[in-house]
Amino acid sequence: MVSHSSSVTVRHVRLLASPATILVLVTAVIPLVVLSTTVVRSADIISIWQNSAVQKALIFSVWQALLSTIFTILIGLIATWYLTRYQFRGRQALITLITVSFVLPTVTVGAAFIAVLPSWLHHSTFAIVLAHLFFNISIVVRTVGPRWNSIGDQLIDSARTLGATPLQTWRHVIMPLGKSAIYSSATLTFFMCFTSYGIITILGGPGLATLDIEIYRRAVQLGDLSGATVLAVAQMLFITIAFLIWSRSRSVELMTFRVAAVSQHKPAVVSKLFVGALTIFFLAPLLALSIASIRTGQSWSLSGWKVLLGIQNQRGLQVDIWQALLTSGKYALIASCIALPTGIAATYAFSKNGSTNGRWSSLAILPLSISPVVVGLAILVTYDFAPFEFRSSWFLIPVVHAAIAMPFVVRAALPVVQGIPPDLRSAAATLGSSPWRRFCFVEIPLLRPAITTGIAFSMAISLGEFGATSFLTRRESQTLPIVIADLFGKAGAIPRASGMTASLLLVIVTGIIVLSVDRKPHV
Amino acid sequence: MNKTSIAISTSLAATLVFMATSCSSETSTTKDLTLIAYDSFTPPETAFDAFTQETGIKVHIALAGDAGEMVAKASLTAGNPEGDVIWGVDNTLISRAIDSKIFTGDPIEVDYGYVCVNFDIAGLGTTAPPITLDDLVSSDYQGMLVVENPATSSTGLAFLLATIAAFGDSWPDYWQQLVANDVLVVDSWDEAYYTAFTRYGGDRPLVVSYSTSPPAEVIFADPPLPAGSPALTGVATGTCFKQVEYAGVLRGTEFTKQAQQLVEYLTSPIFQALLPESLFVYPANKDVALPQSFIDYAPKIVSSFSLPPEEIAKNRQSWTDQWSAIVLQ
Repeated sequence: MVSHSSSVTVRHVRLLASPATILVLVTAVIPLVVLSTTVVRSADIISIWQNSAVQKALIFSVWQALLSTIFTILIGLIATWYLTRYQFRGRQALITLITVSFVLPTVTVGAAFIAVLPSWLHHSTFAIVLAHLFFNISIVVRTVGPRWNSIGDQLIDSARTLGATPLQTWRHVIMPLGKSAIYSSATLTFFMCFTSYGIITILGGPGLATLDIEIYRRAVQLGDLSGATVLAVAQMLFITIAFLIWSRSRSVELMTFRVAAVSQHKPAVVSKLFVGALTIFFLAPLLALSIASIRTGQSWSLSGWKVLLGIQNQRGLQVDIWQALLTSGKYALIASCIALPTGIAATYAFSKNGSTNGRWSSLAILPLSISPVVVGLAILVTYDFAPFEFRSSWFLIPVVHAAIAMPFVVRAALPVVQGIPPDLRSAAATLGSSPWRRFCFVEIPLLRPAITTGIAFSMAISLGEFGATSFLTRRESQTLPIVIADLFGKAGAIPRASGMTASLLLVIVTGIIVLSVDRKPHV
Repeated sequence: MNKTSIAISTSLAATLVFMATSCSSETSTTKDLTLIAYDSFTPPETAFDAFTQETGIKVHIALAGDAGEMVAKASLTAGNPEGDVIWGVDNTLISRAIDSKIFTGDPIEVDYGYVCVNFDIAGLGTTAPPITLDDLVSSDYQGMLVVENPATSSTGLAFLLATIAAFGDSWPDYWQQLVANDVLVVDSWDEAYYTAFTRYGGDRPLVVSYSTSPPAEVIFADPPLPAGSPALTGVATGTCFKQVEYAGVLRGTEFTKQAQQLVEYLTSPIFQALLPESLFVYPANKDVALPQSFIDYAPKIVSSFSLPPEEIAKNRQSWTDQWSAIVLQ
């Protein structure tokens, strides 16, 4: 009986993981192999690393990612502590702000930071670290938060009663309970910062380039496809291997959109100050964007909005914002329709695979680790013959979006799937229900939080994606980020204000989707 | 709950079916041409109606990123192109494009423009605007100029090429003087123009942009400027680099003859007349009259700098590397 069921499980595992494997193979691995065999000169595999610009980019990538991670974890842990332990006015609003910030388009946030920061800070590592903090703090809050949520007041109180100082309580009670979650969020943050592109180009300025930027410069500005591909493959291998080693003995931590259940403590003055500063930090870029959308040159005006929404005609400017919204919405829907079932199926495969689950689920990160420009070029040379002439098909865009979003779906779903008690399944089986019925009536309801989070994540990621989209797009089907880039490409007060308005619109649409899909309280 | 599971499975099935069908149907249409262009190719929506009426051929526009990305894509797919005609390969890229054999026949000139230092009239205050490259290193303009990084921006590259054309081998000395005069370098045109330039709240009244940015400023002014108003920005006419853009038939297209017709249409007066106020470039076709906004606000560039495309292609990397070593350190 037992052996029978386990053999079935192994077969199911392969079956369930296959859509995800196909997605990763089709959008990342196969194109990269084809591109490598087409353009790479073998001499470059070694010689590219002797180039000083490449060395500089590599060192800077690691350095800024380390710095950003340390900073994000520090501030993130303090924020998590207040958000999980204290009840204060505006707490839910702050959580919402932090959530939305994670999925905002980088270019928009970069522009907003430039608007807020004093000019002597514009092109500095500090600005980069700050922007990375803005983006990635939600990883910490949402990964560590649920752990600390589960620490009861009694535990801390008893530690205190037994004579522990607050510091000792932190060191010996609170930190150990969050340890694996902290490690997990640190890895993801490091990885997100390592491959950061939009933020670095805007806030880093000339001279501060990451490996991703150097890859882009080689491929596009210098026409050195061979060198760019070598670097892209190396980056992918490095990240994948690093993830494999790192997650060998660790399970992937919960990453949920909701942080709930607070104790009734009221925060002290210092805590209020911290929370206040954090709120301002997250609100300022959005405020700057709103103000810029109603500034035309030196005066206040609603023309940016009117032109964008088609209320006012503007000679020399063609924006069909409704078409762009429709296209963006369509892509986001399709992307989440692909990413969600694929990601959840993969999650089942990983979680049933026993001890190796953390290791293999980390492979889902693969599509994220390749420079978008290289993915774009690779897809171009791979799918260029019948019947695989996909390269000019619009559906390639949502498929690529789905591949980028899938790792996040897996992250949202894995803990939920692992949390489903096995006896529940056996009970249902004993009572005679078929596997399919069990899935529909037992698992799906339990999966609900993973499904909603997965939809919100994948739609938001698709809505904001720029790099790969700009490479594969058509005039008649432009997405919102492409329209924004177009508007910022023209000189004048109206295009600038309309561009800011479109950015704000993207923020609003993303926020609405994240919040409406994911609003019910956590169980 | 049942609904959710059905929704998931049907959506997955629908997507798969949809993917399978859409790829087979898309390639079967014949008499349609695809024009590959950079992202900022924004002619009016009706721009190709006359061509379709005349020939019965519909034109789709495939955007390929910026001009550099477009040429990278076209080079990679040379011989088996994504479209039939390509628009907007400029003189800094044309040599690479020709070397990669992306064209069949010769590419032809479709438009041109100038990259020049612009000044914000209000931002300069009582300071007289600069005219030449030499003016820019004068202490009168200390801390006033913002330029784009030639390694990441096409306007930045054009400005670097202007200085190389002007000063020859001693261009590094000129840039050392610019650095001493506190030049600011940013990565992209939109950052230079929309954040560093005084007109949009920055602290630099001089910016590397286009000679046609002043008419754009007037057209896009808000509230609209009454006729005959003075310009908001001006051009240092002795700092300009000429950018020429080409279009051509892509090698490997099935419809060479029709593609040739489309290229002819791109240079016809009816299409060329649309260019100034939508792409803010000068039409290559000399028979086309310029719009009033260009006559009033775009200064006539009598002399400009240029370099042979082959020389640009050959030295691009070493020039930008050398520039980075001097300016960014």
